[in-house]
Amino acid sequence: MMDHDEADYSALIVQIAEKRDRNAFATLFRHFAPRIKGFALKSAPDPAMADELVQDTMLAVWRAAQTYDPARASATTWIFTICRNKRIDLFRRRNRPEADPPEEGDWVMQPTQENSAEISAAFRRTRALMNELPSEQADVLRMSFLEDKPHRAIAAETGLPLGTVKSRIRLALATLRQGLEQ
Amino acid sequence: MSGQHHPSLEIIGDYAAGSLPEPVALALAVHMSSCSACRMAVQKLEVIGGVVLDELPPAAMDTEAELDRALSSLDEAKSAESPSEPSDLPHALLRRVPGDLAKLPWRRVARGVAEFAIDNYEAGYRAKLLRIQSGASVPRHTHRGEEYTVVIAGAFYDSDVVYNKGDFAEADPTVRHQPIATDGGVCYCLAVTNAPLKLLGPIGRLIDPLLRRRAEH
Repeated sequence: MMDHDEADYSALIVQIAEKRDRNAFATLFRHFAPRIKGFALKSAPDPAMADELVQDTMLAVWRAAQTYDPARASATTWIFTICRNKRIDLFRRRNRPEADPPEEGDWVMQPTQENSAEISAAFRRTRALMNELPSEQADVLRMSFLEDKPHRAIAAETGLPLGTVKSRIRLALATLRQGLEQ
Repeated sequence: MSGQHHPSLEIIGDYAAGSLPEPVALALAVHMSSCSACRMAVQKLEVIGGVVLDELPPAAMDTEAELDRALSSLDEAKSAESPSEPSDLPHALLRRVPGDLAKLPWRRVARGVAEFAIDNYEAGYRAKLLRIQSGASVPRHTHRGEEYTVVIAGAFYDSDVVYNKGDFAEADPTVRHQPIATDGGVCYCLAVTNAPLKLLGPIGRLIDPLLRRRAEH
């Protein structure tokens, strides 16, 4: 699990960036590919398409490794964002609108040991906060991150009124945001 | 610089999750291009996705065969750096709008107000650019659904509240308003709706059915 390996996965991405290290890529692939496939199957039960999402995501990891900043995101979170974007590209056949990269001195942090430790701590804190959420909130929050579905579709799937889905997600997000600021 | 008016937590969360409808995501991307606070907020919530990915049980797959397939593609995988021309517009917008704002085929909708439709999207979403001349006002209206507006250049005010470049406004059927461009120059906005507007006022009521019919085409 994450606690032991997250820093190692970050280091592997850095190795890919610096040395184009195919062994590092293989280690990363063996860990993440089955999870990415599981992620893909949550939004569409199509194993061939899920394998494509694995390929698209992992090739993007190889290509974009130089842009990975261990002080800004944990390896798992970074790979989630790539996987999420590739899923949008693949399933909706559209590109996801992205914000422009920050200007010099705007929000760029220097990658230091301290920042990387903070990133790991934020990951653990987020997970702990998610585990403390009432299950009715945690369930819809997980669905919204896993299944590429708007609130309306989650409401249809769960049989909950749309307003209930929205308010549960809002409450969960507010709790997490508040908890992460402490 | 961060603006004064930000999108709701719900929108930030849906963007982090990847479930926000594309035109609303476009409005948010334009906002975040000048708002580091919201970029940071998205980053914090993306960790939820990391946790969810981390806790997923690995799916059954022929990992070694798929790894070989990936390894054989690595050499072709060039880095995706594309040279971009300098522009005042956020890139997310440049990908969807041809050329610079002044040269777009604007269509006049009211005195001093013109629009350019960007695209029609799933689930009835529409995205359009608005050009409001200095001091001109959008006809007084309310909404049949949600409306998301982000200022691209210039500024407008709406019931004494000023929206500057990058500011994000959300409106719904409870809101009746008449945004007015400030005297500071032409105001350009991106407006995203998921249902046609409902014009108010005597002339508005007269032409509203016509606009509606056109919007439904």
